[in-house]
Amino acid sequence: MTTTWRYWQIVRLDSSGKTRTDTLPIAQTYFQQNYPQIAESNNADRAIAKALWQVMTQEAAAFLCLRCNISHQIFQVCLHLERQFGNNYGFSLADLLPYVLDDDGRSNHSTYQPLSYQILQKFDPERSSLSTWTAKLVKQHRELNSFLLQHGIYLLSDWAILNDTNPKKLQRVLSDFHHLTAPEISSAIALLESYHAVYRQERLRQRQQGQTSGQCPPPTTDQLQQIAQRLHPNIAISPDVILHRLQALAQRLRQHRLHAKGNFATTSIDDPNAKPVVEAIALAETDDEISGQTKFLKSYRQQMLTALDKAFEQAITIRLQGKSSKAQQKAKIFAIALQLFHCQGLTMGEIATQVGLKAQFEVTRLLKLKEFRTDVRHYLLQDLQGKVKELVADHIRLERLHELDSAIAAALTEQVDQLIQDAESDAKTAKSYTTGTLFSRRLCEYLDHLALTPSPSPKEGEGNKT
Amino acid sequence: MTYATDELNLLFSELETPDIDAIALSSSSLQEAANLSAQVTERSQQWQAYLNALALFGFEAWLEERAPDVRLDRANASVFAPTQAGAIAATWGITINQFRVCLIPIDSEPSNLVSLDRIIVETAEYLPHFYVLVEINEEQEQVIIKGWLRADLLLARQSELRLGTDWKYDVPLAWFDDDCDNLLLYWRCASPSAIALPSPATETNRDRLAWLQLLAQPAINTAQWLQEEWQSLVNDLTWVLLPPVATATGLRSSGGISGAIPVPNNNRSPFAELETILTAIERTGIHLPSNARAAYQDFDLGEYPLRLYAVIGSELENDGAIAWSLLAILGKATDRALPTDLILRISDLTGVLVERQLEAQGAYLFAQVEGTPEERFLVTASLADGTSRSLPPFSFQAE
Repeated sequence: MTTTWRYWQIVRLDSSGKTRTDTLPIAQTYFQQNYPQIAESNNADRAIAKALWQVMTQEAAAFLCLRCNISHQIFQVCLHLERQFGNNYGFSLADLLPYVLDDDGRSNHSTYQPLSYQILQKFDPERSSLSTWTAKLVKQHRELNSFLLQHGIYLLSDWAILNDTNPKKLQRVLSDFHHLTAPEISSAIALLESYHAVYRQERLRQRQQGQTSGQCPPPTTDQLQQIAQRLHPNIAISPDVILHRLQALAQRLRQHRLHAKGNFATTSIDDPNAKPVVEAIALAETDDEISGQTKFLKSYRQQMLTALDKAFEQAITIRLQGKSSKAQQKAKIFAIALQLFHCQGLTMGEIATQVGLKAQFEVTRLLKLKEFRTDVRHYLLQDLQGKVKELVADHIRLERLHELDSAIAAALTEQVDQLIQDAESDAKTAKSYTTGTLFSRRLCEYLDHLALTPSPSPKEGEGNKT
Repeated sequence: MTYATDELNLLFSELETPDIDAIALSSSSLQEAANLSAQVTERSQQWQAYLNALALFGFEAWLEERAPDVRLDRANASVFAPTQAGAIAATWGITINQFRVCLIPIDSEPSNLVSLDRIIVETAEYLPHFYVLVEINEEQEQVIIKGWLRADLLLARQSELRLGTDWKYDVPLAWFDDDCDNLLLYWRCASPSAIALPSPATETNRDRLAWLQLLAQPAINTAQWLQEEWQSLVNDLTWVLLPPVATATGLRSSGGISGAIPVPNNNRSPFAELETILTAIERTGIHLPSNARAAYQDFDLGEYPLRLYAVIGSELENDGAIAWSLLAILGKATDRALPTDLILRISDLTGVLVERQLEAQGAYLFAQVEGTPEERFLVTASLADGTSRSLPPFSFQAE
């Protein structure tokens, strides 16, 4: 199966934004005349691309052939992005294409130059294949990057990579990971230091004026000349050479980052189907632990229950703070999501749908369940420290502090019906949370009393009084 | 040609998906941080000052969102003092509910080691209760609180750490706790007296603090001056390296001078001037190693343009250890006469080693010190009214 039609059929967006493929007769004729028999191989493809590139300024048809080919490659890159990230980050192919698939196959581009033009202007067949080069430029496209960033995906630029490293780290990477020789490393360090001296000054200057945001731009010709000057004061080096050396250095750092990321633990996005963790049963390992926890609960049961409601109030109030309308919006959704999670047992995905968020990770980020539970625990402990004499003294003993924290954590995750015969679990409450942990049970009762209307006010509800 | 799935996977595996716990840096924070860095006169420190400030603002933003009940006091934060802002890779002077906190800015490159400056580990005045790692993604304009460590726990294991020639300790990242909830527990429910730290020997001496910091700045590695390929190695344009000097112990040819050495206004090349001075100095009994090399720097002390020659050399002791020496010569850079109350001082970690005052009709001041490769020296020029200027410290880091 031949795929040479990619050299005369252009993929583009029509006026309504839909994708279509057009055959360009001029390109087809030219291609079939000049390349009648093609073997399907990467080498053949590279040779063709190079041959077309060499004559493209004289032959309009050759230029057109390249543009057609590029359009397919751009499409594939976007397709790949959608498949990898579209679902989790909430975007589709149709969202991406308008940024980069902007060549309509016509000849009149005096005012606006499609991406394909830029790709071909800077293309050097000696340095890479056309497909790799295209993918690279799509990946670097400024507006596309902005869009991806808004959806939570980000590409670190070469210039930021170079900015963020230092000679000591570079030394380590180049010797331990890339196994370069000492002279090679010295020269790389010298290059980095010259880059830093020039590029960072400019970056700082722009930041001072509030001028820049987003990607670090490639160094200007002037900057490259300054870098060359610092590096070799007495030899003239072309800015282009410096640029390529810098890019090659950045590439080495990237490779190391990629490799290292696989080896070091990274934070991962929550499983979209995460169930409420707090419902997990905390089974004690030994009898001592059980009795220790029971003892704790029995000793401070009264204080803990009262303090618990107060701790809920503190922890929730803090989440509902924020004066901006965006913060207010978040606050509303937070309270509802909290209720859905703890009291109705919905998953992150289900909650996202209900509260109108696009992706599961947004729910996770909003709820921050672990932090919430931690805050409740801390406020609980603060309260107990204030009231219970024995605990006040423990203020200065750190091991006891940790023990207490753990005891409270365990107490909150204990299954209630195993541990406490609670008079509240009778039919008087509208909804009876008779199972589940102490934490979630109490929280649900508290949230019920908050009267969760479109404008929730934490002052409306008082916790259950025992 | 179609893309192999592998190729695209590789290209786009470089896309960095953000950490859920990342905190955005506001545009005003970025601007303020850049403005603070601009106030730092030492150019080589400006970027560090910028990062240190970003660490503070990012940390504040994180704390504000995560635990607004916890109060941060930033009145004495190092980033607001231009002489301190970028001296070391740390932001100190911050307290949280009276706990002393030191922020360590790190970059996003994965690493299992964290560099801590010697001064914030060994010096009681600088020792915090907690070190907190703040990862800064400058381009992405966000920070991530990466982890924290109690200083007393670090000190307990200090013998396991190695001090590098850059005066930094490499601390395993594994020692840091990446769960900040545990840190909040301390700030909310404990008090500083619970953490036992060595107390400063005497009352905090401002001068001592100042020069400790100066000593901890990035140092000039003078060992490079002694190497053959000196022309290509000197990237720091503030120091002008001179060809090998002729010393009493070994005459060296001056060799071809490649590149122009600027001839100052008094129509005598620095090289010639130095040779004359050295001849006089050696007559006083000062000994220079046979591999001695010199460089000079012109700078202003108040309104006086001065020139400092630094002559470096090294020798092998009988026991095989390396000893290096620094001969500092302070004179005038132009025709303008020297201030009569000029003082030259060389200090190290322990304090002032030597001090010289300008004699009547004196044309220059000089002093020599000697040390091991672990030592650093700080050269300070000052006047009677307190005006003083310290150059970045000299170190000797042989391969």
